[in-house]
Amino acid sequence: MARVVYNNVTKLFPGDVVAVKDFSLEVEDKEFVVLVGPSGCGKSTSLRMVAGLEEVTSGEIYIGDRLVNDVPPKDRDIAMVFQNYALYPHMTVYKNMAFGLKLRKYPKDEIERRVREAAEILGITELMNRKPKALSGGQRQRVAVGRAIVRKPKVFLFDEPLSNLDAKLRVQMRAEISKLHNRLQATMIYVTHDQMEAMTMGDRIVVMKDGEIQQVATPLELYDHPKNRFVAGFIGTPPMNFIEGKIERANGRFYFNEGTFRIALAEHMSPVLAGKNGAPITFGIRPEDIKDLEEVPNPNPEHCVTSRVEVVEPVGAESFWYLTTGLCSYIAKVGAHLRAEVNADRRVVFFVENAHLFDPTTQEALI
Amino acid sequence: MSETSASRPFQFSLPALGLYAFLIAVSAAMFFPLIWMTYSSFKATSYEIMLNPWGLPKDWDLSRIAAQYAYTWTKGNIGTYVWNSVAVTFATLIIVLVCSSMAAYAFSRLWFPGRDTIFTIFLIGLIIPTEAFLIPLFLEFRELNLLDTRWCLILAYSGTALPLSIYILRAFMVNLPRDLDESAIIDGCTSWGVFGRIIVPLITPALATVGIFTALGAWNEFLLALIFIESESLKTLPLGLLAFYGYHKVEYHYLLCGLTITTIPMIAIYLIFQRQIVEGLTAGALKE
Repeated sequence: MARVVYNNVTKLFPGDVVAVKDFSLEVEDKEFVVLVGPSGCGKSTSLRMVAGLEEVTSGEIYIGDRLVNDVPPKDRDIAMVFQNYALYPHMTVYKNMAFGLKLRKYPKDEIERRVREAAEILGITELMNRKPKALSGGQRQRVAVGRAIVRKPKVFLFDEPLSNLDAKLRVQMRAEISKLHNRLQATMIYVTHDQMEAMTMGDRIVVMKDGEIQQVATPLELYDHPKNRFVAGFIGTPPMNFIEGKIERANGRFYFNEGTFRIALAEHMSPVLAGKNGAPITFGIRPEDIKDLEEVPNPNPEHCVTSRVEVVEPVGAESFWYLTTGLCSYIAKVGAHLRAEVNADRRVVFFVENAHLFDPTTQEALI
Repeated sequence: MSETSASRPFQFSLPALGLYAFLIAVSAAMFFPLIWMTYSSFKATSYEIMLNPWGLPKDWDLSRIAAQYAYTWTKGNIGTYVWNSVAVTFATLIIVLVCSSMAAYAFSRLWFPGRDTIFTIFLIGLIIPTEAFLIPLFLEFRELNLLDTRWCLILAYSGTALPLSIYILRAFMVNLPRDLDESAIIDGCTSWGVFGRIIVPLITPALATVGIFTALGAWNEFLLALIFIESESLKTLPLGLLAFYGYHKVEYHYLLCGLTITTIPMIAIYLIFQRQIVEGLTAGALKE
């Protein structure tokens, strides 16, 4: 196994379209790193550059200690799982899995042993003589993964491998790939646009936007301490609420004034807010940090806000309330047992201890 | 999908009946000339055909019919013509399948300067009629000393078949996901490997379609053969059958025997490859 290093990598497409800009990252040996971001953010291109399917415009990529910029894909000792599986339709499952080994002129019994071993790990031994057409989506995905693991490569690359599966199967395969990582102890780079996949699978997550890295961190660090508004909004479902307003200072405390309501900010925010009295600010709070008044014993009145309920979405274990103050709209995640009338006013409590503040100009996180 | 349509029972309704009647009528119109040609070739004399062109033969004596076919084969020198037609058609087929599949691969999967312009030039070949390049081609072959050889037919037939073949194969290849190529490259294939091990096996239906079009064209071609070939020993079947057209009389019964012999190989090829041909023609029409 090996580490993968991106050193100031930039990729330009014809017409000087910047796909990836000054990308630097060290993926440690045996680490599972997830590249996540919206469509067109450069995550797939970054992965494909490691595979050798895209040329690097500038910068360096190392696999292990070897600079691989000019090494052909077949000599990079990597394996890749594609979004649409890319199984060869005219070959049986066995031949699909054995193809790479056969081209590398492995002895027949070694090929047989490796393919059987991989098939057992993935539970597809009974499918060996079928063609891809006769497999379900989940089975195809398993074969695609099997084709990668028989090669025992230094690095596994996954390009949105679960996107074509239905929601239930996606959750199942997510867990299986994580198990596989634990079992193989291999370096894996995984691309997805699904933040839930990223959060549940990655040792570390790289959030990308417009070809640039926004933040590299562990899932919880990313969730609790997003570096900027984009990361804060991208990670979490439903996404973080952003409310525009101003900082106010009164009686030695800092407040956030939205225009229709004012709430006291947490004590630990004060040092950052010094000198910002009257300054515009973006207040960020996750839906789970807004509760109905009934759910909170002894609420601080300075953290309570009255809002009108616009939509109620019960999802089973909890309910999402879409609320509006007239100036801004936000979502609260409340207990499923609570009932709310649409267009009725409700008092909700903001857990400001967990809130975030962002500079409205730079979008960078202040807290 | 095919299972569903095959197992669907016929539901009796007036529109369905009308549709089937229409399809039967069209099929009959298509098949009748072939059937007419075959049973008329069984007639004993040219007179019998002229006197009663639509009627069935009076005499169904199999040994007489066999003798009539054998006579056509030997007197008409059909053996030589068949051999020439087979040689020319086979060589044309090989050249067209190899060149058009490689060209289509390049036009659909590789990037090189002027790619689209060159492809457009090939497409222009689709709209140029044979008559327009007959004389230049004749002069060119004369310069190259290729006139009255099998090569002039092979080259001319290959050249005329390439535009349509490239067009069909390229359209087919464009629909194959690029991930397949990339996956094969990571597995260790070169560009040749991707072409030979992945792309070619996947375009078999399209190759069958191109193959039958090309073979039919080369097998039936008359005009170029008439202009380029003089030697009796090099004549192809359509040209050779001219022997039955006398100045004063036409020996229709022998001519029809010859035409039936000419038609059989093409029908056999079509029947063998019909499944692939239909797949090739309808590929991409439905989502996989």
